[in-house]
Amino acid sequence: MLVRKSIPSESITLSSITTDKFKTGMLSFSVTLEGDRLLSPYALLLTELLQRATESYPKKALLQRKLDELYSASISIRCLKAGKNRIFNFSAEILDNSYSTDGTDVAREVCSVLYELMLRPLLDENGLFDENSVEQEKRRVVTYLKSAINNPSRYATIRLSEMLRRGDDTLMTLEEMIEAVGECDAQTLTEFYRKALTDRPIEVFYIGSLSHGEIEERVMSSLAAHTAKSNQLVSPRCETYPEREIERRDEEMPISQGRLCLAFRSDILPDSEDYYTMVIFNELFGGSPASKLFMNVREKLSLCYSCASYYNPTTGSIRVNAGISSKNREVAEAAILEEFENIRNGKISERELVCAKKAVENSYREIYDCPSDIVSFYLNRKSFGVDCTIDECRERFSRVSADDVIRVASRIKLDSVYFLRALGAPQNDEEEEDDE
Amino acid sequence: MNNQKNYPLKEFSCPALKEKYYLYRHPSGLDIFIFQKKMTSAYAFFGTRFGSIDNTFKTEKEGDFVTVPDGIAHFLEHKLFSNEDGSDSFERFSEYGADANAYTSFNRTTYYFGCTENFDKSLTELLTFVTRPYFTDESIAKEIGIIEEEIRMYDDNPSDRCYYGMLEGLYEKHSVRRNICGSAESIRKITPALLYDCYRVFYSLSNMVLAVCGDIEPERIINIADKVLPKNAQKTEIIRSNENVYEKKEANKPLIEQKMNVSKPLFFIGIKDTDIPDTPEGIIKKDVLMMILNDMLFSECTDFYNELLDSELIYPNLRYGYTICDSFAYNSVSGSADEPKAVLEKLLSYIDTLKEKGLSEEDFIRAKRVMYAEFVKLFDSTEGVANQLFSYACDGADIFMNHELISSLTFSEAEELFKEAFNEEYITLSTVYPLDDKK
Repeated sequence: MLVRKSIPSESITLSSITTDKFKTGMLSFSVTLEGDRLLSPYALLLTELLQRATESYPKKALLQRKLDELYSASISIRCLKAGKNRIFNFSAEILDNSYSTDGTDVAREVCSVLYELMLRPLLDENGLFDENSVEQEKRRVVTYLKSAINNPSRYATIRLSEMLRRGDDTLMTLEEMIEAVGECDAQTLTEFYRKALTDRPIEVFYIGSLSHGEIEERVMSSLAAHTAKSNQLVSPRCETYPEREIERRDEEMPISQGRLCLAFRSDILPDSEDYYTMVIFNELFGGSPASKLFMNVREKLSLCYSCASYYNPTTGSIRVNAGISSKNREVAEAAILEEFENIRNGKISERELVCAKKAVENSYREIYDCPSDIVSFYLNRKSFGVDCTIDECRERFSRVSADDVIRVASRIKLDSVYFLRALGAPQNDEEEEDDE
Repeated sequence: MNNQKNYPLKEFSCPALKEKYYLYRHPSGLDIFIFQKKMTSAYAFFGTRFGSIDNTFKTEKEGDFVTVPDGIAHFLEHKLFSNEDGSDSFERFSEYGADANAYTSFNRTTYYFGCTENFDKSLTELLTFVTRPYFTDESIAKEIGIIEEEIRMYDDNPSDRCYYGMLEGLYEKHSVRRNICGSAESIRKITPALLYDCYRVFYSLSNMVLAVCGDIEPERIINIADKVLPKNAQKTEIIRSNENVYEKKEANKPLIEQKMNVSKPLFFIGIKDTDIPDTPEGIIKKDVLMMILNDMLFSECTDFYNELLDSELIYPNLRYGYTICDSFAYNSVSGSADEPKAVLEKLLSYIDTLKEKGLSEEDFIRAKRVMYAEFVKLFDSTEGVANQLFSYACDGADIFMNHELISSLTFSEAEELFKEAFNEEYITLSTVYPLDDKK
């Protein structure tokens, strides 16, 4: 798939892929910011607030009605982590114009809606976000943050991330986030919004049946007036974690199943030659049903139902998350670390390596089948500061050898261990009858 | 080779979408649905009409009904991946570069894979491992540990617990109220003999469906089926217990309350529907009409949603949906709220108001447009198409039916359905409160 690029104005860059393969398309508007301590709570509030109302759609119901009329255009507003940077992304999954039954130019109209959401929020007579709306969103965001305890796996992952990020005061813990959200007000939030979104260059990505020229015309019909104060794009900022002692932490919760999480750090980032080997390492370790964690910790030892590893390329870290009985904590931790050591010591069969490489190659080939995955791929490469195509990535993966994996494994170190001990689920008054 | 057997039995097409698919009836009795689509990936779903609600059954040759332990359909799904030679089919799929998985629902079990290469090898593996069961006491003992952890994982999911509370509130007897995974106690009653009994009854190829979507020629699929599957059909008549039929129209209990480690209360409002059409086409039609109606009533455009949100009675992400199959059906509305009972009161008042003043035809037209768009979007995913094809084929229906239904359904049909289906006596409220909640 050929990516065409243009710079229709000083403040807009456009990339597009023209294809008839899909009945849907994707439009994405992004702005990249340098991350700082206050960005996370403000970003969380802003992504919710911007979806409430715009100048043309002063109520949520009106906005949703418009999206429904545009053949159920599905909008998402997110603030994505990209190493030390953050990306504000406004994207829409849209029905291709050829399936519009009444001639609606869906792409043109959705460009206009995305522009509204991004650059024409509803402000009061003082040019600020409405105070009541801000206070309401603050309550909702705090509720969302506190709901982390509803999902023990998610809660454990948050705590493990906090441990990984220890010493980095640009990032907040869950409790600090809750406090920081509470301290925001309409004035500070509006100032943050103006600085973050209105004065920055916008990167647009489109995939669908329209030609580059056709989508450029539609994008510029909405964004032509946008002028960024600085047209310099923010450089990628990925950083690994420093050498340090292993950190351990235990907590307890009245739940049935314990959660054991381990984090490993490395000095390998996406612009490194060894990035591709890291991806294969992760797959081999715990990325699939053929991985060492699945086949041994789950299938052979029956210690868990879910036990998998996840790789974060922007920090070079790998985390493992396993749901286990609390009584098996030591056995499970030992079993996970044994599989890690097995890779470092070269206990990798040809079959395991082939399975890992094929799984990764398969997942990259599948990207071609999903417009949103294609957009995500290119946005990720940009945030990594790496310029390569899907096929080039696949070719690099195919060249990884067992020796490469062993060599890279020596650069991976255990960093943090978090355990959420299950105290047992509460007994409710009415239990279901068992008629056996 | 006798080409006659490779001719499709039936063609299904949707000219508006420029899509079509075919049904082939294999000599083994298996129905094979093939949807050719020029995409990089191909998906195959192979499964049976057997799920967690099928716990009491017999075949025509036996006199008495047999009741099996809860969770056996799900347990069998796990065990089929283990082969007699000690190998695990997950490993074989991985060697071919395929991503395999399986799931058990209330009324279906399905095994599937997706791949971008080696389709033939993966399909051979899929058809082979599912049709060659092998169960031993030792392998069952090992699986119990894994499934116990799976059960614990779901036990800690408050949304899951609230949902099952809703089913308990709706149904007095119907086995849909039973957990798909069973319980730690029930799965310990599972033996190789019981697994083989269930397998023999429900995994007869005439009770199964294979659905494939991708850039694959039908001949390849049929040739693989010829190599792996038996040459003759052995039809087993399955007689399911009719206990599930004897459910009253009204909800079983109006309120189910639980406490868990959550920050705010969760709720599931269930609306029972015992008026189930007796043909597959009737069921699909009702499903589509109800989805349109639900969008008219509960979407983010509606006064109901926005008043609840603005008054902070609910938190964002109100979910709603309709579930229907040949033996049960219900609507549900779920979310998070400080006062779930107040949300239910608002819902009942809203229904009363709408019954008095009537629904909005403008909302009906808008909801139909949404349904049409969602229907079209489905066809961009080989996985989505194969999964939907499998599901509809098991029900004896055509996935393109929705296209015609969406345009032909009338506003007066929606009005009539609303008056029949949304009544207070059909409703239950299931809640999960925080542990320290004193209400």
